[in-house]
Amino acid sequence: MVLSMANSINILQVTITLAAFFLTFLFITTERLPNSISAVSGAALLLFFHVMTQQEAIAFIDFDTIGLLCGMMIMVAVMRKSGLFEYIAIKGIKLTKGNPWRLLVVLSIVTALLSAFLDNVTTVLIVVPLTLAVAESLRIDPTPILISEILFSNIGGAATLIGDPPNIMIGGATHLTFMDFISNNLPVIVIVSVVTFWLLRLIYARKLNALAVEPSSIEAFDESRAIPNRGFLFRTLMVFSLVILAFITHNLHHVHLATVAIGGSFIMMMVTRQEPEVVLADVEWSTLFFFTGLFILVGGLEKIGLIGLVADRILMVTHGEVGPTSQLVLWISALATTVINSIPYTATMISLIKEMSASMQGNMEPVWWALSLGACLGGNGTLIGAAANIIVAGISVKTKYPLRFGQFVKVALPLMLVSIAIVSLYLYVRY
Amino acid sequence: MKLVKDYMHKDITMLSEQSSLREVIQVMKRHRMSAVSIVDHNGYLVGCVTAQDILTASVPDYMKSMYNTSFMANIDQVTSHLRSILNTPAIYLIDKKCTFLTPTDSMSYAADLLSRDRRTILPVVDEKNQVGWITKIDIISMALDDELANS
Repeated sequence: MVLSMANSINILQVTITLAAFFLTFLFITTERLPNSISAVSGAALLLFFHVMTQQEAIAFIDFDTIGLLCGMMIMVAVMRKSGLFEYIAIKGIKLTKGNPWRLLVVLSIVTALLSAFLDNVTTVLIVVPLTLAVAESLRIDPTPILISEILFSNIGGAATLIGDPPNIMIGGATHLTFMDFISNNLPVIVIVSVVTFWLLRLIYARKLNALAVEPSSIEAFDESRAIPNRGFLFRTLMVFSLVILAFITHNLHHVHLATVAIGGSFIMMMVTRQEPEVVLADVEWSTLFFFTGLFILVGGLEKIGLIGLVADRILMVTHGEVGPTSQLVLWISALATTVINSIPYTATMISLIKEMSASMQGNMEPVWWALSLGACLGGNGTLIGAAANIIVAGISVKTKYPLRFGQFVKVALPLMLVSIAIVSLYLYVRY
Repeated sequence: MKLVKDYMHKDITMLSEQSSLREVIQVMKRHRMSAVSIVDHNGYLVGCVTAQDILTASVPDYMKSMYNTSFMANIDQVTSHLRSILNTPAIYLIDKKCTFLTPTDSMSYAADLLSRDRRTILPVVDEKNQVGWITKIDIISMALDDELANS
């Protein structure tokens, strides 16, 4: 009965909430059920047993996050048709003149840049098929390039508020703005990128440079044919730039993220004359329902008092000081998200950190950056650490060079630990 | 009512379950057919391999996941993939969801099946044996029957 802090909650409801939460986590981690089905069914269970009212459940859903995600999904669905992303990637590929090591560097940079603005899954869905096509033309094993692309999709995504789901959730739940993410996360992301490239160079450069390739075979890729309609490209870019500008200038106008994203996405559909039924069918509704279910489940944990209990324990360990708390959050996040899905993890941690911030002195920001960087970069630890990793592995098993779990972990896990150590040092020095 | 058995083609080329994709393509080319039947040792129909199935198998998966492949117009990857799967047993390419017609089905039903599944050809099966083929051209040319009779 320790947990039942709220007066109207009984032991049955506490049990139901804990069971729903942990079963959902188990199903997501073991992939026994699609994410949205386990999360929404779990959330429904809380409502069936009156752990919370429907009104309370709706209050727990962070619509700023859901709206931002939905708006970004719509804009990406429209922009993908322009061919711009393929154009950028092919231009980059041609710069390498077919040298495999340079190909790894350029494609990783393209991946990092794209994933800073698009979600990671979309980014790898654009870059990885192209990589496989180029590798096949050059007759080389694409595995080192794929591993590097996975790493940089998660590294690049950590740099901005819209780059990775954990950041979108933190941005939606706090007052932290797009520029806050740029000025706090971007510097350390640049350092992590440079160090990661340096280490990849030690691992792969000699092997890749030794490969004999026919450089002319990449000349056959014709980037000029990637963009079918320049007017369409121009209009989508105009709207997207305005959306990003609105994110950057939040402090001037105070229009919220979801409003900018949803508003911008429908304006983009208007100026490019899209059929909304067609574009909206491309929105990942399943992901949006997954988030909705998780917000309610975590709300349940808050309501039964578990979040408060854990927050108190953490505060006891760190004495409520920001420095040790952020270090603890960073390392737990990094290690946890190598095996469990970063989205439910982040949803839980946001609620936990908000609870802790009530009784902590000083500026809470470093704790949020620790969560963001830990959850984003932690995804690099294993092949199941992030959605993008799973997608790349899925694409590669259908080719001659399937990416194996052990093969990835051997390179990625040490690099992930190095990146977290860098972030740890950065947080210590800067805050 | 116009029935399938009155319009179907009866010249059927069958291959055994052990046939390779190479033999399937050779038969298709020789008989100008977009599908070949595969039969078991009793002569019962196991399924059909269509030109569409072979094309689908020869386009690399990474190309299928691209939104647009026009920038690869000068790249010759599909032909080399196709060549590399020539020795695959044809049985792997059988379309398990392929629908069949029976001789007493109406031509209208055949028309609906073909337009619904975006196929070019359907096998006509009596019990377990294939007795003919119906193509899209058989169906649309049915409309000309009365004109031919009158003239």
